[in-house]
Amino acid sequence: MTEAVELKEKHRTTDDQKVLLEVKNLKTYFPIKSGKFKRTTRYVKAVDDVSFYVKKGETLGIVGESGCGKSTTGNSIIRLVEPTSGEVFFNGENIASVKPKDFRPHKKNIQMIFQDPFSSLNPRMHVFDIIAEPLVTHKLYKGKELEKRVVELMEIVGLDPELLHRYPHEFSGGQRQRIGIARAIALNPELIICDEPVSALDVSIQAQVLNLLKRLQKELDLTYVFIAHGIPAVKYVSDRIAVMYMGEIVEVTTNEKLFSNTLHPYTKRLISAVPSTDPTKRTIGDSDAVADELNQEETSDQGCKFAARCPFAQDNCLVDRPKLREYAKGHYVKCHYPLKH
Amino acid sequence: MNLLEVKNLHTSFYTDHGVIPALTGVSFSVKKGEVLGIVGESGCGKSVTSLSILQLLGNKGKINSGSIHFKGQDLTTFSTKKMRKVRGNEISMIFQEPLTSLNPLIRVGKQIEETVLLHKEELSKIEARNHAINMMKMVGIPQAEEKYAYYPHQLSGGMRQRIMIAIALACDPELLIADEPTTALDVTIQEQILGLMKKITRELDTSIILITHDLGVVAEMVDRVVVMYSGQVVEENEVEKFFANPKHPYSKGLIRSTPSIDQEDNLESIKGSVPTPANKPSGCPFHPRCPFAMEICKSQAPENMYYGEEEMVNCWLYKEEVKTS
Amino acid sequence: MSEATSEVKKVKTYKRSGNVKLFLKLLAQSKTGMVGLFILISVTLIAIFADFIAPYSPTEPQLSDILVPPSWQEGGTSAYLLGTDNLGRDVFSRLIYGTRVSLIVGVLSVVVAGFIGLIIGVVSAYFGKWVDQILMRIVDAFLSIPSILFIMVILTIFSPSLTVLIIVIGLTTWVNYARIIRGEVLSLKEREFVKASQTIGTSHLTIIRKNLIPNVMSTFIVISTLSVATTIILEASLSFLGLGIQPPDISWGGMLNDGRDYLATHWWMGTFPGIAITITVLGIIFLGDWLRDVLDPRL
Repeated sequence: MTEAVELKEKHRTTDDQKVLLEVKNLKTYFPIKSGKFKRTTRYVKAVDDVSFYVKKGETLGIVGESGCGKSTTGNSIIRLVEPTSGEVFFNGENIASVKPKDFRPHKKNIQMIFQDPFSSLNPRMHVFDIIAEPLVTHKLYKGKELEKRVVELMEIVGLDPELLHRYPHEFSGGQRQRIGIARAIALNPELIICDEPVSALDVSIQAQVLNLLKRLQKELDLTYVFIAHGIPAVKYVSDRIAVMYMGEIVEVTTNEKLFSNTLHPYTKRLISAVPSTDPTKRTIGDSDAVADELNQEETSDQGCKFAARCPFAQDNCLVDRPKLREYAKGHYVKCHYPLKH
Repeated sequence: MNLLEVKNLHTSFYTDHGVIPALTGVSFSVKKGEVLGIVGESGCGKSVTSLSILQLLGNKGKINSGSIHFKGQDLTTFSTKKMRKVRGNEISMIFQEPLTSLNPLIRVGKQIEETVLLHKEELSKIEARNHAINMMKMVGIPQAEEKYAYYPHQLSGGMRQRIMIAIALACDPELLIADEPTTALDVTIQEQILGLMKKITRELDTSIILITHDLGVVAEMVDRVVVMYSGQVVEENEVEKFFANPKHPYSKGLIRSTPSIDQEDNLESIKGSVPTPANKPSGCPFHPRCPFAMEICKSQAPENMYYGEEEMVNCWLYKEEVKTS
Repeated sequence: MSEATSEVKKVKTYKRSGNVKLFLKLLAQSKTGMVGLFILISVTLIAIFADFIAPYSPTEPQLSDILVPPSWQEGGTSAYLLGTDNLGRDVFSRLIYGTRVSLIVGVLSVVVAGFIGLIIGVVSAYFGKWVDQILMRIVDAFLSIPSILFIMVILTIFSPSLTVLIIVIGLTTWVNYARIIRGEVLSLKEREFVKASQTIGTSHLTIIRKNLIPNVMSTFIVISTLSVATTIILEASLSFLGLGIQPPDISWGGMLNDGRDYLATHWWMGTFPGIAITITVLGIIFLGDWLRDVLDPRL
């Protein structure tokens, strides 16, 4: 239970911190093939001109609903999918433009934690082999040394090293996620992309994993990109938060400002939709609300993508697409008419 | 009188690897027009409870003992045929994943219409169709006449869940069981669906059993809470009292480990992992994870301890308190 | 957090190889599985020890004892349990020796087909794009040729020896493996553990070797087992058509072919090899179905 204490120190971001990761105009489009001869007829713009930066030692939360492109953004950074265009600077080097085979050395510095702890571990491999895989691949340890390192990693993430030679299916969801975390930190990476790391876990286990991630960040000086759809979890771990909607970032700012000084109408909608855990403060009224969700195909290429659902949309919102701009210091928003407070 | 009264329900599954007890003595009740929340994590038996009520346990599941009284009649004594009349008509259910619950080859409007015709034979085809379209309007589907002819895959997840709700409400049931109805949905869609369910209870006076793992949904929606852990009810209370003063150590842990949008403190986690029905701990099933566990907890399961009619906790810590009160 | 980890879930571990005890325990629970295994073991033992079991030489003609009926029929003698054929050879002894060819062809051509199919299927699905396009068009080409016709053409060009038979059957049946394995791998490669290996920088070969092949193994074993049965039937059909094993080598299909002309008058010549084929194939199918039940449920 050591993880619960002394994690309170939040918002480590300061001006003089070094930028570790900078994403500039990232676009990842997936072709849709149809008709005769499978010609590409149009594209799904999964990530559409996304720019952000992450400073060393901080956690950037990326939040948004399903299909908003948050996972594709993470996958594009680590090159699980090839970005269509744009730049990704890691420690000043553009890693989006290097050839796939030259990207391999960077894999040591950027690691990933996956959503589903039942699918992210090979069911036919021992825990030892799973955690050792990155160390063996990069030829860092051998024999006794390797075993020592794996045991050490298991201890760091709170797993009993006795269980070294068990198979993943013998563990519970939370323990499996710890195995996944041990594998991700094995190479001492600088950046870890956490793609929905707790959403497949039981409620009572989520807090364990979130606290573990926070503890590791402090101990190992890690930088996180924390991708999730659960706003409370993102709020709990992030220093700064980016809100994505339909492939675009609509608002980025610090954790407090996003909630206390919300600028984008979509962010406001998202936050107010989260049920409060206090039954005396119910926010959802019994409503006649007509369904207003849209498919990606239904949005026009012009104007603001949220305009059709936005209660504050003006005429020009439908034709003129807003740009992400710095509305207040460090507070970026993609809206013609940011909310007034 | 309570609309539904479940008493000391025991349900087991008979598998190739032996008998797995899924429910070990579950009791609760639902009043007319009330929203009852059943909260719990994977494997706690919350879904098995709802399947037991509807007797949809399949070949391997069996109710061993206990009773389920619905409007005064014990459903466990009903024949398959009699039960089929109850399902979809008086008690209906909506599931987590609307895409798999809808037939992909039948137009959505038709699916509502068929449910209506199944239980209300006196209606003509045209009346049934009109009723289906009215239901679609009621659940907030825009351009209902047009959407009537859509196939499930042409609708978004939120729309599909609305169709499911329309099917469930088509015969004006008295009890609606919603098993994680919004878990697969985005938060803004969830808000709308929850709003819709509130409207239903207000306008139709339908009672709802809302099964969920999400304490936010519970706080937002329900009148009373039933907390389940490892096949049994560990706590029952009114929602406001429950959040203000949870009694069972598991309930306390659950509330403290749930991140909330208005909280600033650190999360406290519950140690250990959720037991599976196949390896339920002895005594009180929560004792290996409980920070207050005593000697007695390891060997002896606590009784249900009542504070009046509505408030119950299943924990040795309250033994003395209940005696004196 | 060490308390958290000390209670590892106790889950049934029968999906693991190496757990022989559990495997046998599960086998004991299934009657058809037991029967299948029993038949297969018996047939294998018969094939190995044919020299000791068979009472007569299977090839030496005994012209004095032509077409003797089985022992229980009128005119039969206890010397020839299942009677003799048109050249006076003991049908029982010939059946025992015929086991060898059927099993060897059945098993080895499955090994050939399985090896090719597994590699092609995995490579095709894992690399995708043009690799997949090319390999799958080849598979389609193979599927569009009636396999029996293809085999017949090959066997009329090359003289049908055991080796040729095995290779030819292997070359025509690998496409089944390739298609099924490809389908498995297509879903497998979307699983996060494969992605995890990619983010670590693991090489393609290691990913195929450690992540993909072990996870398609259970499917592979099941289809291989069931294929042994179909291959035995295929070999019998070829021999029945006179394209399989040539005399003096003995196969059940060949015996069926010999018995064809005598079926109306001397039924025992063709019936017993037919029964032998049926029993063996049934046994393998029983075993294969049981294996599918045990191995198939995914984790």
